[in-house]
Amino acid sequence: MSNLENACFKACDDWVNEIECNIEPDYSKEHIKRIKEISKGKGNTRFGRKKLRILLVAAIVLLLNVTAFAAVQSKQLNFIKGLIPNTYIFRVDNPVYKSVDDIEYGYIPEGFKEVDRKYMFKGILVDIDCPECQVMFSDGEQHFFVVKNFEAAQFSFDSETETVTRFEDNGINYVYTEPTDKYKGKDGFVPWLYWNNDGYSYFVTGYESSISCEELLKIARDVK
Amino acid sequence: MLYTFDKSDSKESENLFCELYEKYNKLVYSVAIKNLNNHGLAEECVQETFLIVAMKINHFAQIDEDHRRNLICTIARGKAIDGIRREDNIAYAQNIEPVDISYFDSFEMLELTEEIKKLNEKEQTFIFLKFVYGFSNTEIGKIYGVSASYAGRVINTALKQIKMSLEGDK
Repeated sequence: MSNLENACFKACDDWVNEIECNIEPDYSKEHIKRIKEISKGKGNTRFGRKKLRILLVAAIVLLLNVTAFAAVQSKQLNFIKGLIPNTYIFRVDNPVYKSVDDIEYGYIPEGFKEVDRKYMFKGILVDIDCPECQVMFSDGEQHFFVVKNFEAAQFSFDSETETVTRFEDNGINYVYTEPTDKYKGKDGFVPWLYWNNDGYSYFVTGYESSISCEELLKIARDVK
Repeated sequence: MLYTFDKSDSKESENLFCELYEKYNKLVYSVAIKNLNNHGLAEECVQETFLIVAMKINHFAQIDEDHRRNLICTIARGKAIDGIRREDNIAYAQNIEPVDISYFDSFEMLELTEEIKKLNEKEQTFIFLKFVYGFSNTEIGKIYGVSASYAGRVINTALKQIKMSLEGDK
């Protein structure tokens, strides 16, 4: 071994010897399942929570920035079949076309709090997380984004990957999409709840494919 | 699927993987939680680290216990460093002249060790993988999702930094 290699080993060894290892990790069932899969040679590059969050935020920002033209084109329509096969479009009724300065919300699940707020050209994205949640990728942990925006009136749904349900609650029309059985649990396929009110469009979404429509609706009812 | 154990020695590989996990998962978790300060992310870091261990299981089979422990911790630290995937092209410019490692032979090992400890975590991680465990720039790049040339630039910059620091001490 060269002098440099020996010195690198010594530096590495010193560092590892200094690590304090006095925590007993309380691993989730999902973690244990994944480690078992890896031990059997079945590991894969599933997206982690952090990567998924970045991807989801990027997808939302992109969504808010590309829809303006199409929204104007389709402003006489409400829920229409999209130009791309298997897609549907949902747009704002009487869009206000003015900037969104603030967003209010009421109910959020216990333990969750706002961790970030992004102001974009057409709207606001609120990131609601549960930093202390002890469980990853299971029913115990969920993560929400609440978005209010103007003009970004058009969202596309792919009926091959999502099932679309339309319903009314307190006079407001909602569209709820959730992954089809084939896509449930796959990375990036999460439920979304969309609605329009007072000329603005809103949506709530989260990481987990197991978030119920009822839970999303509870959040949605207080968002203004 | 990213990898499979060789069929000929899959049971052996599985046993070694389980042994390594049992021995070192707490240590990896400690490295992760110190950097990430979040249980969910630390759990994810443990998974990502042991996925690399599984992919490199033949490498682990050939090294002794101390090296196994140190290599696992090194991989984990790299996984836990938030900014490692961002290719910082300002700090790690392309025109760094390669440093011949025989240059370091004329220095005391302990002096060299102290200089290595002054490098940042990313630089330490990359040079440990390169010079202790013989990973190529391409392998390091694959582990952390960066290009091989970027891994090379980080390593060269780190060596240059050690060289300059040693020369400054003369």
